[in-house]
Amino acid sequence: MVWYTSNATPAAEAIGSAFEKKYPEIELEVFQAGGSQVIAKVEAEAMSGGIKADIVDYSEGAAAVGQAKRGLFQRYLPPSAGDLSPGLVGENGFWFSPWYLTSTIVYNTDRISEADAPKSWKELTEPKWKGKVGMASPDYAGTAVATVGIWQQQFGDDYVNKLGANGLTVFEGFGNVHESVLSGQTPVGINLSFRALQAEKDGEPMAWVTPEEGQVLLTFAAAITKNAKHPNAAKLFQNFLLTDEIQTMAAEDIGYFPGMSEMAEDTGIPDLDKIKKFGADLDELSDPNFIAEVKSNFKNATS
Amino acid sequence: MAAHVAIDGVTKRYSAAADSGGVFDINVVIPGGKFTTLLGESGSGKTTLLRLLAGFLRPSEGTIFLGDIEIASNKMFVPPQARDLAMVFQSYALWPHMTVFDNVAFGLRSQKTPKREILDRVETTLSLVGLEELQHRKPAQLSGGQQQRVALARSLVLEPGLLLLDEPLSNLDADLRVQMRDQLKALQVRTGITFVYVTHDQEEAFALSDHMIVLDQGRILQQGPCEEIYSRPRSNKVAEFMGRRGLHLDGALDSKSQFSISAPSGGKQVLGTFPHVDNRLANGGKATLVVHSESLRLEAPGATSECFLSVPGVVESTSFAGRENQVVVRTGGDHSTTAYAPIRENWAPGETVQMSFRPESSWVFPTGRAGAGASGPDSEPDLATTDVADSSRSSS
Amino acid sequence: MNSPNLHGSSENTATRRSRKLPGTQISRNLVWVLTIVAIGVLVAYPVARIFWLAVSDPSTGVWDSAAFQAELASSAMWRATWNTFIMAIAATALGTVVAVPMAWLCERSDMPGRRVITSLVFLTFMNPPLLLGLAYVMIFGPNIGLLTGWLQALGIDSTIYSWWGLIFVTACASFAIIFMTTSSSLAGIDGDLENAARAHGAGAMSLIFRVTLPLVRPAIASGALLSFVLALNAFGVQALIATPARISLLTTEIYSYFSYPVQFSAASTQAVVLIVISIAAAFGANLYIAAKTYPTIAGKGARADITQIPRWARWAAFLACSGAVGLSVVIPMSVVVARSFVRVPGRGFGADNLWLGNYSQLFKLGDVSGALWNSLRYGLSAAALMVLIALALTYFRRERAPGSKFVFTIAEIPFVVPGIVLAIGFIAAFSRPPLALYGTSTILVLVYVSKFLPIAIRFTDNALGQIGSELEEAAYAHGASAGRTFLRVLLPLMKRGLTTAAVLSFIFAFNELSASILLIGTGTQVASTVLLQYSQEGLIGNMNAFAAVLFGITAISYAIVIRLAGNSVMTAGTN
Repeated sequence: MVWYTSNATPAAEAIGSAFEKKYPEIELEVFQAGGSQVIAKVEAEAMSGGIKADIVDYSEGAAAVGQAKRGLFQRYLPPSAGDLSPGLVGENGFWFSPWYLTSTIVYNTDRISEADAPKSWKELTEPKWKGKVGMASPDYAGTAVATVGIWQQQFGDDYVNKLGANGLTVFEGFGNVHESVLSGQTPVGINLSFRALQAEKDGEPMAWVTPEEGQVLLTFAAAITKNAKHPNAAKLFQNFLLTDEIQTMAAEDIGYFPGMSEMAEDTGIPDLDKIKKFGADLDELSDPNFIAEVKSNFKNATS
Repeated sequence: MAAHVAIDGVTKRYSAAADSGGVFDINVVIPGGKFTTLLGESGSGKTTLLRLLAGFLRPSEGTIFLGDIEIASNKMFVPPQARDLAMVFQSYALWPHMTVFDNVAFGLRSQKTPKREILDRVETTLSLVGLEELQHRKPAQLSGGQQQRVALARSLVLEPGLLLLDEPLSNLDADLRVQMRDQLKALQVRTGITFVYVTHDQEEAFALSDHMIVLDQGRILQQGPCEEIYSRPRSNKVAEFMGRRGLHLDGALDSKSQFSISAPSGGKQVLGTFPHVDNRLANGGKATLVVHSESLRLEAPGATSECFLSVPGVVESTSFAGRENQVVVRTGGDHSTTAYAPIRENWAPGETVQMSFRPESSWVFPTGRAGAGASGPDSEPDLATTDVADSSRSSS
Repeated sequence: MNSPNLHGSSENTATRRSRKLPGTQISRNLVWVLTIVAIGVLVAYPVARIFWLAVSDPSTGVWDSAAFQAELASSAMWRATWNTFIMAIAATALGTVVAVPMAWLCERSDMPGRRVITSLVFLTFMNPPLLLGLAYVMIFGPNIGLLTGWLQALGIDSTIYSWWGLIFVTACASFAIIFMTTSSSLAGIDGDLENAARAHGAGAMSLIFRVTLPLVRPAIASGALLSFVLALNAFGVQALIATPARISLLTTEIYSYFSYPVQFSAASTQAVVLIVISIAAAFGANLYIAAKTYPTIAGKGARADITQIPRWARWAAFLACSGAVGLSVVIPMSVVVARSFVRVPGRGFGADNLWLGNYSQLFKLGDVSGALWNSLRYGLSAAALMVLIALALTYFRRERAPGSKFVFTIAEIPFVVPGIVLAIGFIAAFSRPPLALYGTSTILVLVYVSKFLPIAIRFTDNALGQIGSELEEAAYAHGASAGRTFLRVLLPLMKRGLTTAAVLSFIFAFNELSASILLIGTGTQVASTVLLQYSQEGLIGNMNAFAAVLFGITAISYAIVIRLAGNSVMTAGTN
């Protein structure tokens, strides 16, 4: 079975080997890349002969919405999908989110004390943080697009302009942001929740902040392609994603917020329900024109 | 058997432009078993003709025969590797990554000759040119003369019907050149292979050839045995070639066959009548008097003699040329003539002098470049054909 | 009349030779036809698809130039074009200024340490540029780069994420190319040409500027053109630095068009712009090169003398050259290797922060050894194919086979196409049966061949061009068929050049990144994409460890090649 995923490598590794362990007779072929790359690959394949993957997942759910509308997926929801928190199931059941992520503010604890750390999104536009903040480029990281798009929906166009004027450093990918924060190049960063949790676990000098306005809620989407060659294996996989085993692993080992709401208490992960957050208007976010606008605004603001 | 080569109406055009080189309307038979030279200046077409024979060029018109086999024409073309010939290049073109032995053996190996025979023939040929000791060396380790002999051996070992040589001696120093010249001639006589040799050096051509073809601007001016071309040139240009910058005097021939030049003081100065006058001047016209350098004698002005005619001039320079003095004399107009004087005669620049010659050693041609192959004063049949006819009659 | 021949027998030699001519003609024509087909499939068809994509609607395949026109009208695109152009020119200029004197010093003077410096320059060239970029970010990054503090002390208030950083890193990669072409030309100069100048009283400086330099100008121009085109199309390290530096480049713009929502037409349009610029530059440069090329081999071809430079200057020169290679390869790689042992970046090099875990994790994380093996396999296959096709193309052009010039020109096109767009062309061209190659290793090998064939051609052509036509003619004049002439005369004389072509083709294929990104599938990952992945995911320790491993492989291959083919293999035949 072929799986295109934008989960981070360690995550993909973990999930992949767990699946293979459980179903040894199914050979799993994994293609892992950044969200943007996976989408591009899927689009390129769709354009010219058919998508090779059976399952695709994106850290940017909005793309899935658009692709579902274009008929690239087939309808399938695991039986336990009913237990998913609301908003995690795609319209008409073409995709679902096994887990959540958020984007939030992170900072280097060696260089910035808790008291000094930024408290809100708005604060990032203040002179105190000029040139000290880094984030991933919407051109390369799908979750960055979503983040910026949701900002626009929540705060309006101007926020990004102010960030840009305040010397926001735009990196290729979240990995680069992570490194930059750790090394102190940009001691403050906008990064994904699970990375921050992972860093904490690894004893790295990084902590996250829930801004006053809330963390940005991102939707992870997984779907089975319409012409999948191994639909049964794919279905097994989708079901597998919602099992206790994987949900626990996702939370404890990887740092995702589990989609199955009752899992939340059992793991060491902060309860997402208790965290202030705001999410996307998915319909708008999935509109390619809106996305294009978001990207070009960002580009203009940061050039 | 040594093959003759028949070139029938062959033209090679490079482009429509008038001055793009090439050869035009070549009709000649190169006699089998003889040493034939293609003589001409650079740009005369001699190399083009050679390359047409070799097969590196295709004729635009006409047919070429090697022996009795048609090798090139409008309709068909035999590539070089299938022609019964071999070639010695000006730069020798020895393959630097192969030993002398391998270089020489190459052609035999291409023919899939058995090993024993190759060994035999290569060694024989190498000793023929005196290089058997050096067979394991690479070309870079040989001198110029040795390389030249390897190139020769490489071709000779194949016993081709035709051997083409493209100015093979021009890269050698003078002494070696003369030595090699003699060797080449001897080899040709010994092997009996038809040699076609290209050169611009007239002296070399005389020393080597049985038969000569003079080319200019892509056309054959004259062909035949050397003495004939020397003593009976059919045009201005041919004479120029032969004569080592002899006397070329422009003047006019009147209807009584009297040749006159413009006198320095105006008016005409009649020099006399001459025995060898080109047919085309039957009714007089602009004419050029041609005398070979070797036939000129320098005298003080005023000296007269029964058998000699004279032309006045002024000495431009003198140089010592080993066995004689080379004196350059300026005649009327722009023309410089080179004459040779015995060592004991001292001619100083600025001196007035008189160049004397026997009328029989001179020719009068129409002024300008007379057409190639123009019929000469004595319309003789094409000598070349006669030779071939002779040899083919007596061949087995 | 029987002429006695050498051996006394009197066979009729006129008919002794009968050649099986039609046979060799057919197989020769067949090879030529196959070559044309190869170029058609590998180059013409995918490139045509790219042009078509620019002016059509990707989903319907119908002509639709709206996107094309909109893109051409967009000022953002022209700004990116201008930036890209400036970056490429500046990097090439900087590279030239550094490479030419270095080449002279290493090739023609008695500066100490010449061999070491030369080897280091080649190592620079063999390294994936991305490694270089990553290392420099560590050294000169904002706020906390290792040496950024020094820079600021010097009054330079800037970091690697800036124009100078971009140009500097690009130049590091490109100066090696110019060094190579210049070196090789310098090596081939006939000593007599310089001796003649000396005999007329030319002093050393005068000699260099008025004789030597003009003679190698074409080689310099050739190297500069190559590096200009590579810089125009470069992606990996440019994205790393230009993005935070807020400099938009055509290649990064194209890449951004591949993030959602994907805009194939706009991307292809930008590719068309890039192609046009590259072709214009190549055209202009080739005119210049042709006009200024003089045969450097005049008389007997003696090697030129080594120029002695004064003692003080010798060491100054060595220092300067060391500085150059220090910046381009020694320092960055040392930093990479050092940091590969660090557990938590940013916490210094204390004993408690050092471990080997980054290396051991390499073999657990994804398929590192698989990717390495793939890179090796694909690189070797691509190199072999490239050399074969290049041989055929250059041979048939020399023989003036019909259409050879045209096919030759076509083969050069992909070089000026950005990798990512070439990949799209290949995807569009080869996703449906009978040639459904997408996702296989074949398509990767093919795209490498397509993209780097011009490099193989360049070196093969030079190698073939150095063989005088008389050597070939002599073979024909002694009865050898075209095939035999090729095998026994041409090929052996081309050995050095072919080796160089093969090695270089391999290196380029091994390090290729931008096209590979889109074409890798499950199981066909390559080393360069894995490195990029680690970089983007922030697996810093692993990234450095992998980079160190790749560098080790590069250094070892280089040593092997030098051992096999002699010291000057890299400079052979690039006149």
